[in-house]
Amino acid sequence: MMTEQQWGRALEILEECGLGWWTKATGNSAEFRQYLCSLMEAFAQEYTARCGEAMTSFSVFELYPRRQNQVRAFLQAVASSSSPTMLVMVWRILQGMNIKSVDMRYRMEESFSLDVTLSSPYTGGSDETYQSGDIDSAALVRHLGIMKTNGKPIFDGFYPLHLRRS
Amino acid sequence: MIGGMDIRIKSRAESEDALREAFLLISRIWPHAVVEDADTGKVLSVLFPIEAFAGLTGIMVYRDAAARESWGRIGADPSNSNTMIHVIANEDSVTLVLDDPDDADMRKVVQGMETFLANDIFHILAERQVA
Repeated sequence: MMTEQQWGRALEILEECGLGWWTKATGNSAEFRQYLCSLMEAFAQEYTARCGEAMTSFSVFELYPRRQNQVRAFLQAVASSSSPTMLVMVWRILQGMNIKSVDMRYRMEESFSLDVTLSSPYTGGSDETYQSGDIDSAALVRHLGIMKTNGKPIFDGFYPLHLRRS
Repeated sequence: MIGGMDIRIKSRAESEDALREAFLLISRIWPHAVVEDADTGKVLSVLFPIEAFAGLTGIMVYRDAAARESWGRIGADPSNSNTMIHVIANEDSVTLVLDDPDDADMRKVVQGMETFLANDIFHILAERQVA
């Protein structure tokens, strides 16, 4: 869990990232703190398990001074999705993984699934797969960079919305 | 001598994002591309996670190490045509300086950057409020 000092800094960063509405909506309650800290902890554990690098619930916030745009994009994802798995996917894209495939299936009032495969930008790396059955994960797709080369489609990068500070 | 042509594309993307994307795009076309900081001439080591473009305003991307060496030795000689792209990122634009925009590879780069920088996400200012 975050210390009091870390939590205070986390709230400042959320505000700077255009997410002040979120803390206001929850009244910055103890429940909100518990929710966010637990989600960040679960994300850190999943990241460590998948990628083998140590991470804590505060690691992303610590990166903010030198990786502002990436942290802004990531925290906006945190506000949209409660899936630690999909948050690891977001972080991996922000680190530079290629988006090899995206498969989204939706049936009204029946089912939703989002399957994403990432590949390393370098030779030799293995593919990583991420799956979600929560329709909240659909919000993550709108952060993907979209481009065409030679008329062919590419999703690349994960970018923050330009949210005003509230 | 060959002459560089400036392709200026309006941009609201962060400079770091634009340069990173330009490099990734070019390196798909030139798998052995070498990139350097345009201000210092220092070769950038694009390791994972990709953080090499933070704080930069311009990069030179060469087709490969031999192209970089040749540019360093003889400069804008016709033999070096379409082997280097200079990318400059400003607050409101990205400029691609290249030799022949009609070259097939150069067209891919220009189209890729144009479509990337046109993304709504870079242009729409949003305000999220409590419901």
